[in-house]
Amino acid sequence: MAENLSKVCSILDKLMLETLMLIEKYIDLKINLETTMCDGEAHLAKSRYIMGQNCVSALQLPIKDSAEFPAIATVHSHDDGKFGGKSFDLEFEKNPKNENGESFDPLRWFGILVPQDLHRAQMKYKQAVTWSVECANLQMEIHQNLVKIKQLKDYKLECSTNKEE
Amino acid sequence: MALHSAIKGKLISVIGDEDTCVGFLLGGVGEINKNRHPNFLVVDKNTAVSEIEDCFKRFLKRDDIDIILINQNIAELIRHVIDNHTQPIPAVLEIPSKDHPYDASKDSILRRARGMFNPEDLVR
Repeated sequence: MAENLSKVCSILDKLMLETLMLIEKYIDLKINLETTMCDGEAHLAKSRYIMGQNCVSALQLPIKDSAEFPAIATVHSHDDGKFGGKSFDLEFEKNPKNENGESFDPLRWFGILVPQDLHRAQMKYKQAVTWSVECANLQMEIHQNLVKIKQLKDYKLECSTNKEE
Repeated sequence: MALHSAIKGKLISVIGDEDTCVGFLLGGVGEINKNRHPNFLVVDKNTAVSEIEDCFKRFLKRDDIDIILINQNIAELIRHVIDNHTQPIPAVLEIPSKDHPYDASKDSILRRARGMFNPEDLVR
């Protein structure tokens, strides 16, 4: 039982360290995401300055009654090889088409001849989507580690109670 | 990747302020499906908390959504619902917004992690 306890403690130490490193990576990624989004917002603001205040706003976004259109960025989840773990792969559709089979680009919601800044904003937000998916993968790993830590802590408690008896 | 192209991927949904939604939809995450259900919600000062909560719960129930992006300041409004969601999928990711920089101390997964690192538990 004492041997089991020491094994559990060493696994717990490793898991804790791994989780702390994952948390550090996670916070770094969130800061990258924030920086990218700030850049994107600056480009959106410049586009508004060029096109007019209401020309780049939620008013241009499709509403419930709009025609059906597909997502260009989608994720595929798969097992990451660890026990019960999953991770996401991001995929950008290269030739997106709407329900009528016509090619489709979200930039067209804002007009035909849009300023270069709107193109730059799109690039920044595509990068932000990539960071978000990486963040989600790290979040899943942290979540799995927390579940394992909880189970091990319960087992450790059980072992130490038996030892005392 | 070739295999991925053949299978329809799952969606990333967004609940956020105007700039966040405009930006991420420009980035290509937006979709309106056959039933005319969008995978995004633009939150402004007139949006009721109950509306955000209902939308979040609806996204959780949809099996074609794998990741939910939500601005951290909006997540604060429905914190109880987010804390109740403990399943790994759909992953709920709190993102910063223009007026509210990222605050790690409010992030639900990091708060859960902090609870695990309670020194009293570790000594036992």
